[in-house]
Amino acid sequence: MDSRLKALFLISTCLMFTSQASANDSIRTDAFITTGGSFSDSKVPFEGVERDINFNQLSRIGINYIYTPKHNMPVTFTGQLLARGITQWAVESEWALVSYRPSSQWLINTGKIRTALLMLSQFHDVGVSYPWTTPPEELYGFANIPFTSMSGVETVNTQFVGDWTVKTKLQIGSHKFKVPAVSILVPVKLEQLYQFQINASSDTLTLHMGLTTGNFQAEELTTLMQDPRVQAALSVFPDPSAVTGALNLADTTNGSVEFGNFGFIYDDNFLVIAEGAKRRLSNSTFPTSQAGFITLGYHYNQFTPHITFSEISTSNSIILQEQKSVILGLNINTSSSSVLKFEIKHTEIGDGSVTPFPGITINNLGLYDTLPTIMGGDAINFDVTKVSVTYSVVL
Amino acid sequence: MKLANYAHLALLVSLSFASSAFAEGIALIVHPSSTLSDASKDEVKRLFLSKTDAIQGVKLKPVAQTPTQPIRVVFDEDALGKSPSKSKAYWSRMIFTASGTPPPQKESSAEIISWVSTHPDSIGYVEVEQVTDGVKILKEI
Repeated sequence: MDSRLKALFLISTCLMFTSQASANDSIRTDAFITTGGSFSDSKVPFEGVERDINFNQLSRIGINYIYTPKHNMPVTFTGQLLARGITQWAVESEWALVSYRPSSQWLINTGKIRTALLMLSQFHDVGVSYPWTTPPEELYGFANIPFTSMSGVETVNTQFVGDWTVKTKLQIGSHKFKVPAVSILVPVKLEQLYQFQINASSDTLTLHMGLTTGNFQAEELTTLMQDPRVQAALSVFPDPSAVTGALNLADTTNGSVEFGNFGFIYDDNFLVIAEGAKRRLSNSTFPTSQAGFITLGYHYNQFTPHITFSEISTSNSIILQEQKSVILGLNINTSSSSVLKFEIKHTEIGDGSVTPFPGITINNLGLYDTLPTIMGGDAINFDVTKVSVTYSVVL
Repeated sequence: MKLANYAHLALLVSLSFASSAFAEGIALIVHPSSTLSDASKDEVKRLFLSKTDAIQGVKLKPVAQTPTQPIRVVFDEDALGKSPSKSKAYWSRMIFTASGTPPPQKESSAEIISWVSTHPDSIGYVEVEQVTDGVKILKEI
């Protein structure tokens, strides 16, 4: 079914439920909106932003429906439609699940669920729920997390230990998505995706740990190899076929991914958020990465100034994406359900490089959206500054 | 005195009035047939934050006051430990991750009492002086 027809179907279904709800009081509708703009001092797109102000990169709207068939039924249906400016406002179904609560301690969700890869992954698009205009790109950007949801089952167990609430979450599922590579969208199939997450929270402190394993297939990378731009890029190598074999460019049919992370949030008058993660890929073109950040802030009435130090380093690939950033931000709570955010991010791109073959040096790209210069990509600045302003509301 | 100082003073005065009005005046109410006789602050907090659906094994459905009611602000601060903006951020995370939903809201204490008195599995909060014979006080906050 065409994606627009799917969206129309979903909206119609939701509207149908909405009209029933007014009679039964059994449906809840919520929405979140973030609108804003960003620009950088770079001619080459950096984290999706260049010199011209970009209103699409950070803007998105989501509508959430929770339908409860009967007053005392332990079953609910949840749907969330999400449209992002970065995808030309195409409406996608981000959540579509049935929830069953067999007891007070257990919750089972099945359907299309948001993946719990990182501490903030499940509410990554809800601007009022975190301090930045978007969570640090070094950890939460597309380079590290190329997908957000999957089809599968999620179980959540909740226990209380003194003042602490301890939630353990297990997700099992699969997902198909497309990774933009050069000018082609490369289909990727993730299977046997297992995610385990444990989260302990008190009034002011949240501790988080997550582990993920999965297998992936990207057979269509062979199609990518036929693209003239890729052929031209590979022509710089003395023996292109040896390169494609050595770098797993032609066959990633049995790749695997392991992902581990740890983080915490302390939120009282002072705000401290820190998270680190390691992603290890095997049989893949894409790199193993280590990324993390720490944020320090202070709530003063409706103002929250904050500063973040964020970093990513990569290895085991010709794709080198290393950078360090400092983000200065000021949030103004314009009401209890809306926040205006100003942010300046300064990033230093390391001038490192890899030499996969004698005489061939491939430069570090940081999170620039370009190819290495030896493959015809643009020359990048080692220092780049990005400015972002957003306004987020929940309704 | 600068305008900002007046605003600060007004805020302090209004908060002190709010606190004095409700500090010992919020009654947690249940249906008279409820087997519960008491509840700890933690149990109340977990229930109203949708972390559980029961107190001491008794399933309950909480109802809340609307955010514009002064009693709601005091209850959220004192019983749940959430300021209005933190409360909104908390519920945003819960709702948009399919983890839970906030309690349905009623426009006034009279509506809360009417609802609780006719729904044996419900629990709400009102000003102590508003309590009628149709409901049972579980706890004073």
